[in-house]
Amino acid sequence: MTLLLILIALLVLIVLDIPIAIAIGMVAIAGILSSQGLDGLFNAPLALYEGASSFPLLAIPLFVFAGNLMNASSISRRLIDLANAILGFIRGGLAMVNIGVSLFFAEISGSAVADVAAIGSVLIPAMKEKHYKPSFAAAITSSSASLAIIIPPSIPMILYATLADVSVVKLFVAGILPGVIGGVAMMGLAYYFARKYNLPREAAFRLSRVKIALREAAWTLILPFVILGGIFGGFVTATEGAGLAVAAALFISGVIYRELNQETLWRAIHMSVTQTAIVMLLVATSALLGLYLTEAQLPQQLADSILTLTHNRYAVLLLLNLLLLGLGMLLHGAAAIILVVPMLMPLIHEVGIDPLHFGIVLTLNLAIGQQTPPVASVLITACSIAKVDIWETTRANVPFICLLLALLILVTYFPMIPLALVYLFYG
Amino acid sequence: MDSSMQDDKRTIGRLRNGLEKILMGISASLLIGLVLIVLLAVVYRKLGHSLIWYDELASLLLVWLTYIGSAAAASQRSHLGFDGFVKKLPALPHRIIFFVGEALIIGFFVLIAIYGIRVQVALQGEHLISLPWFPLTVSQAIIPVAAILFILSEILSIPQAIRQAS
Repeated sequence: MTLLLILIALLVLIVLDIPIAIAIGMVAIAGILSSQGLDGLFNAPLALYEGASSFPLLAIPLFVFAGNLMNASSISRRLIDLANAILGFIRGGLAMVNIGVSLFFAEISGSAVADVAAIGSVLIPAMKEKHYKPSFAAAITSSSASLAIIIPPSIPMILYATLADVSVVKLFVAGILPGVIGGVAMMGLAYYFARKYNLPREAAFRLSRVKIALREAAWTLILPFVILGGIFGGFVTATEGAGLAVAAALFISGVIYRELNQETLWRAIHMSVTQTAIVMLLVATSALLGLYLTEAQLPQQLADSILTLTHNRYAVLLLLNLLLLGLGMLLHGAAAIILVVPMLMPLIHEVGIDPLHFGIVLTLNLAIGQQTPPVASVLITACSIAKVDIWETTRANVPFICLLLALLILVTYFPMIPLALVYLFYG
Repeated sequence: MDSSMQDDKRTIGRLRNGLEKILMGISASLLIGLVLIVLLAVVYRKLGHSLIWYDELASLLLVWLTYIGSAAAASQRSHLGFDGFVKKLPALPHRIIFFVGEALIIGFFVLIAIYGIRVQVALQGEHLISLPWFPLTVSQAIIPVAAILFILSEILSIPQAIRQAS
């Protein structure tokens, strides 16, 4: 009942155009006041501080900064040229390129918003020029960028791993197979639409073109090896990997490509500060709400009420999927993780769900949440680049959201899909 | 009358720009500081000398970046929200909801500022663990300071928000 009241209050404040981060904080303050009176408010500033000070959260500004540095240089354009040389000959080539680059870019930026900003700003105008519907161009850019958050490195995965106390590296490995399956399926769906709408092919496949594009993108291709190699090789932690991504992006765009000047660097810093602050304020106020929910013993109540319905782990996962999909419409991914993971972990352990498996299920839910308005950061970024209405894009996005839902069901009910590679490498 | 109102608006606009520039400058320095500390810590660890203060200082910089940056984002009205419903309302209810919302936001930060200052008393004499000379009252002061900055940014950006809405 309390949970329902919280959700309704949150929804009302959001509909009245209160910034979501502050709406979450207001609901938390109201809850604390109603249960503990004014004295409870002494904990609010402490919780707001603690909520933003967790070490793994450092990955957010660092990956966001790395993504913006790549956007400021020709790194994303070089990747797109390479993908175009390899995939462009297929019907609907630019849609294929879009998905291919998204999945690759994910291995560098760790953030879906950075992904969509980098790829969308080049590919969406190009797609519009080739008579792709702008809503379709925005939908495919947005969906493929969200799918990419289950491919390492990934900010949501780093946050989940910390809160659920599981290995980040194992969680990264668990995301690889579902990410590849999703990417191939998304290309298949794009191909279906390409035939249906008679979308154009790009230039014919020529090995010489691929070679030139490879040479042009050589330094860019090194980036994922540096970042993922550093993390998987145990050289740096996942959070430090984000720092490495900044250093590598600075080196490649500044020293090798010589494309960074004072103005572009300042713009990248300016955007990174704003994007970080927006997400981190959400994270901090979610921690405040989390404090209230924990003190009101809502995690236990939620676990108990679900366990009175069923002890079957697959039925529990179904209920959790419904809950997370609903939350994904209202909350930003990072905020949702901070809020729900501590609440759900007792239940996950109680019914014997592997926390690594649940990590991928949760991340996929949040990927879908990034596509479902009103709170859909990735979709909104894609729409603002394509200059199309959010609802019109959402209609074009329905098949891609259905594909992500199908992938979610697959991953939920076949735990071996995410876990096979983890067992293979780590026993 | 009209020209004095125009002058007031221009002054508010200049103040908002000035505040945003200062907040953005501080946030940018914090972001660059964060990157340097993380990279420095990796290098030091590989050389066999771990920096014991690195986690705590990096986390502190992140909190400061979060809140100073949030105030800067408030002055740009960049915080994530959903204006799909209020935009469709006629002008008068839209205006009423806008000012009620502003009052709620400012009220929220006034509470945070008041309790942020009051909690300082309880933190007297406490210090960071890895940097024992650094008082917790300084690190935690960011919460009331940022709350006040947020209120200032919110108020100074009201004319711009009204212009955008209409």
